[in-house]
Amino acid sequence: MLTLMKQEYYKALKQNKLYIWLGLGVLVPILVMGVFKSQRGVGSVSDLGHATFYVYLAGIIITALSVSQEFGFGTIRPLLSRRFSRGMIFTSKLLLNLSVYIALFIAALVGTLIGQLIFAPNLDFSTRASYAGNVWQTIGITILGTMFQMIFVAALVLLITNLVKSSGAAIGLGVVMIVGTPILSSISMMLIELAPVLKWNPFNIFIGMAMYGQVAPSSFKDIVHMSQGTVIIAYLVYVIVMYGIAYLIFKKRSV
Amino acid sequence: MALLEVKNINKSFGKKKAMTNVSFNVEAGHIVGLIGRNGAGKSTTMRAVTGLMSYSSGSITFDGNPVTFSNHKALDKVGNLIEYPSIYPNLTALEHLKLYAMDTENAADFKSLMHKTQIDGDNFGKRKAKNFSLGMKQRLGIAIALIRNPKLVILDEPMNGLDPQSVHDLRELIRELANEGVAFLISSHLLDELQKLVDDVVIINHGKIIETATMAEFFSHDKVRWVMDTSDKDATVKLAQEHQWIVTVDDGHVQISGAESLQQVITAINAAGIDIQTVNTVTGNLEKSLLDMLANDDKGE
Repeated sequence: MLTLMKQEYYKALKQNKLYIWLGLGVLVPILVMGVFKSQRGVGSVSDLGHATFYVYLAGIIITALSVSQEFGFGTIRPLLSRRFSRGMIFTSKLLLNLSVYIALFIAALVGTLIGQLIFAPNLDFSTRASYAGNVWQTIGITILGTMFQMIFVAALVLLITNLVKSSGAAIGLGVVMIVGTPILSSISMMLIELAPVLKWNPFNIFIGMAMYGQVAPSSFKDIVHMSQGTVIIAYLVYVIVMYGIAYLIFKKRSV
Repeated sequence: MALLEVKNINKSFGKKKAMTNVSFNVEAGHIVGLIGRNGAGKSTTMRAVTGLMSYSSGSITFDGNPVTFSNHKALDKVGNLIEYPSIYPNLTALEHLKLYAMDTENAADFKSLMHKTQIDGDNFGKRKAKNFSLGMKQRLGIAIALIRNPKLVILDEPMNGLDPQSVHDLRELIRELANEGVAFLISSHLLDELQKLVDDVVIINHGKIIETATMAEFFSHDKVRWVMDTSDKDATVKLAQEHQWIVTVDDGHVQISGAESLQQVITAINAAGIDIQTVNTVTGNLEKSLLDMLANDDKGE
């Protein structure tokens, strides 16, 4: 497993695009705060200068490419025809993707702090920023919430990528999950109105996770139709099932 | 016990049978040619042996250890180049070797391997693989197959994209490694090259093995024959039949085989008062033998 991880990191670190993704992660919040005066307040800083959207998008694309490129380059054959099990190979890909997500968040945080120092030096991080608490606490919740959403969407993206061996469809779906939240929310509400049991639909759970820590528990229950704790359990079940299916497809695929 | 044992492998894609009771062995230090038409099942067989594809029944063992789709720990000592070189475009040749060498503590020496596979360390060692020619990618693919000092190397069309000098050098390298005990399973459409290289042949047609033999045994199907023009073709044929030699008329020329020697044939023809105008000796030819064998197999189906 250690060998596989070393090889995954070696391949990733030799790719210029990784540094471009990380560089943009630093630049996006600086540019947002530099260009738009309205984005130099507590709300923007708490959202990493709105770089969470960028981190999300970059994470989804990197996840899809991590598998589809191996098929595209034909490197999947030497990868799978060695002593390692497919489970180990799949896990090494997941761990690499998780590392990249963390690196993207660190890049965005660094960019946010630089932007704050340059464009909003008087901003007080102890100011209450949201239901969750002060600016630091809200940043923490934002990162965690976005990370959880990314893990959810990444499972779906991996599943699709393994199924069709192409990153295009998977990235498209990932983008829809990001930018189409209002549409997904409408679909979800419509489903729940049809039958209350449909509150367990994946869109509702996804939206629940996106809102976690953003609104008070009572309002949360009104919107999602279940408690925060229940959403977390449902989310974990969905994540396990989706990663499980993605792994089974990967495991069964002849190359 | 053979290094690689493939026993009664069956594989279907839907209703189409891709492999039917495929069985053959590869001994240590032997170079085995896996030969057949396009779509005959060569790559499918190689993919099954390297754990890339499942099979419905049969068994594959390497060095006594089973190789299946889900368990192929035994492949640690198997190098392969299947279909086309597996190259990361953003890595240099040297970085590829470093990457794959992480698999083992017993990796080949990079410099020596690059020299043997004609990878110019000063040039290709530093250039990204996306800028490599087909031949260069092929050489790198072969170097990757050899990086773990394997006991068995599986090469699917290894001569693709190589210039004549590179083909010659690859042949020398394979022969050198085989002399050191490394086994090879090679498929190629360049039958002349394969004929110069392999010790044993495995002929596959429509997913079935139709012949496994040493090269010498294989050519016993296609004996030395003498192709000649004479003053009386019909009389020559009749004479050959009287001597119970094998005789055919092909493209207007009389072809005789099965006699003890050319001298015996010439003496008999001259004694019958027939003039020999031209005579050529034709030795065994892999391509002709293969085509004859495949044609016979197709007729039998």
